[in-house]
Amino acid sequence: MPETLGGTANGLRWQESSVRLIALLMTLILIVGLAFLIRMQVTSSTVNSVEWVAHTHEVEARVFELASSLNEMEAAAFASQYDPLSQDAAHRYGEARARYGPILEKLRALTLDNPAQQERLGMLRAQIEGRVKLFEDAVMNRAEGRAAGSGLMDAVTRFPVDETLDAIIGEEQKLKNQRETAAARRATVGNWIIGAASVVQLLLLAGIIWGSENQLRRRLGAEATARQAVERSRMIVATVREPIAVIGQDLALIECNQAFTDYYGLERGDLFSKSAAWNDAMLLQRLRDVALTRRELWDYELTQTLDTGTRHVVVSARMMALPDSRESGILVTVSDITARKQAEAQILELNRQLEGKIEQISESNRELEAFSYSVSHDLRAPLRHIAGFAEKLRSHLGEGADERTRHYADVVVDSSRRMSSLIEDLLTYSRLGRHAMRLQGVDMQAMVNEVRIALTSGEEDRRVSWRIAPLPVVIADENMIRLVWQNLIDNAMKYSGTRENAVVEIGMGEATPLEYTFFVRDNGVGFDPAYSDKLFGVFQRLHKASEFAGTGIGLASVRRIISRHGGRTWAESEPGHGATFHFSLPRTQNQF
Amino acid sequence: MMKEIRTILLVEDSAADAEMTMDALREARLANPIVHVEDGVEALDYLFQRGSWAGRQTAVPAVVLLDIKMPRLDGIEVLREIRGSERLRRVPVVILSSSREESDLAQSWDLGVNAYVVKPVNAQQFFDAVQTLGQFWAVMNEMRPG
Repeated sequence: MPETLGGTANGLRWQESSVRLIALLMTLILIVGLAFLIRMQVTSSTVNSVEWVAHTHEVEARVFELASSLNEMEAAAFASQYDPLSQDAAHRYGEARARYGPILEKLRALTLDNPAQQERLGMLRAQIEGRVKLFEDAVMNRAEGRAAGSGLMDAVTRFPVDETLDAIIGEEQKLKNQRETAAARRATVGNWIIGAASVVQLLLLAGIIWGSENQLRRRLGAEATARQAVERSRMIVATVREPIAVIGQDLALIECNQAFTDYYGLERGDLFSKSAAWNDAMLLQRLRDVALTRRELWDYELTQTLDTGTRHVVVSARMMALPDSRESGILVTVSDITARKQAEAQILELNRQLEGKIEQISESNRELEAFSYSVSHDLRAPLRHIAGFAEKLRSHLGEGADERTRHYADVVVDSSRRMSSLIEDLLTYSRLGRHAMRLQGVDMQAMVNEVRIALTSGEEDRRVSWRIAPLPVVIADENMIRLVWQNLIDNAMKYSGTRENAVVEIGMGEATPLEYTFFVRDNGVGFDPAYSDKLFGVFQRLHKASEFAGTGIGLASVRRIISRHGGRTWAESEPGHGATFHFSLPRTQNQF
Repeated sequence: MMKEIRTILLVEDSAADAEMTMDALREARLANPIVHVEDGVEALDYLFQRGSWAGRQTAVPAVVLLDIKMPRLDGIEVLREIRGSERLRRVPVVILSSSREESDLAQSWDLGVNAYVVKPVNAQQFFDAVQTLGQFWAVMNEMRPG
């Protein structure tokens, strides 16, 4: 059904387009998401490196702060060496001493992630504490009046705090540089990736544009093809010679082709019954039935009177969905069968004439048969009388008659006998054409043997070599077929009678699925093939009666019998080299 | 009781045939009288003792030799009348005709003919056949009494 097919196609198209939509969305997400991710990556690495720079600066600041407080401490310690009673120096020392602890703590917190720095800081703390011990010992000694002298200097040289501080700063600087280099490298890689992503984006976009362009072109092409197809269909409907119309359920014309308008002069919107040609109550009812029951109307025959004359048409109608409407229409197609009707009428008339002729022929055949029957019978009676009374005359004359008188009587008797056998044969021949055939299984082999024995029984002194091939069983009229074999075998014997070694051969030709063919061949005198057509005619003889006896009716009877069985007869020969007589019997009726 | 001598009825329109037949029967030296009528109507008149044969006293014939093709009423119709009659239906009827036609043979046998002989053209055979018939039906055959 077309609806289902259309539905399937629609479904397929929907599936296809949704797949394409999803693929497009994924691509977009990929393009935008990839770029976003890369940018995020690059940005976060930049932020990281800035943070690291700040961190390094912080560490440096703390280290400098620490160094300054240590210097302050050192300075205050020296000052108090020279002026042990200076309260100011003691105060400055105390302040500086109090500061370094928290700074160290901060530094430790800042470099928690770096064990090497932690180690250095530990060392630094030990050095500072060592220094502080020496400072404070020196200050204590001075206060107790002992010479300070070397203790302070020892503190500076034994605990080289500045080297450790430099190492810490150097380490931080190194780390900062490393991180800046890494950040720069990452930024470069990021740039490259962004560049590559842009290229990929461009390619994808180009692909999408190419794809949609292609799609559009295909759609346009398909639309053009569809438009052409629609146009072609419209042209076909418009051009076709059969009137075609679509009518609504109210039997008003919705659409029709040119042929319909030409035939009936109806236009769109006209009621179907407006044309007198369609004003057939029965047909209109049937069309309403089509609309009601949705059953088709097939080949409704109608005779319409139009301007162009009386037309015979057949009307077919079926419901048709209208694409532009919820209602269904009825498609009405009309075939003009006027020519066919005329031909039919002509055939009927010819048949009638033919039947009349056949009747005439049958009648004349019957007359002919009756005539030949009657003639044969009526001829026989006087013949019998001639023969009978000639016989009586001969015996009446007795010994007293002279030679000549007896000869005359003999001629009368012989002629009447000859005429009698002619009439007998003619009667047989006539009967062959008239009698109904009685078909039955006939064993050709047995029949040929039977006929051969019957024909040779009176001629024991003749030497004939018989060559008889195996023969089948056929369906035929037994009596008629016996007559065929009798005639053919009798002829073969008769015309080979002059041969010292007469040979009669009976056999079959190649059997086809359609027919059997049989033949009887002799090595007798044969005949001139120029006359082979005459051979099967009634009373046709190719030899003088003084040479070979016969009435010339035998082969005519053979042909009549075989043709009544639907077969053929033919013969071939060369004078002096024998003759072959063939006949065929159709096999269709021979199959058991 | 002496056997009653019945007639032989010959129904034959051809004078020559009739003459040949009667000659043959005479030569057979049969005691039976031979009655010759020339067509079917006359045959029925004889058999049913009507017309010119009204008042005939003799019994039914020993045999009816019946030709088929005759003017007025043919042999087949005569046979039909004989077989349809209560008194005559057992009379031997021999068709003696020139016809070997199947329809003639079939009709005759269907109507209950006793024999069907085709007249031989050969004169001698004809004489022999008629004599044999006469001897068989008039001398050898025993009729139903009555």
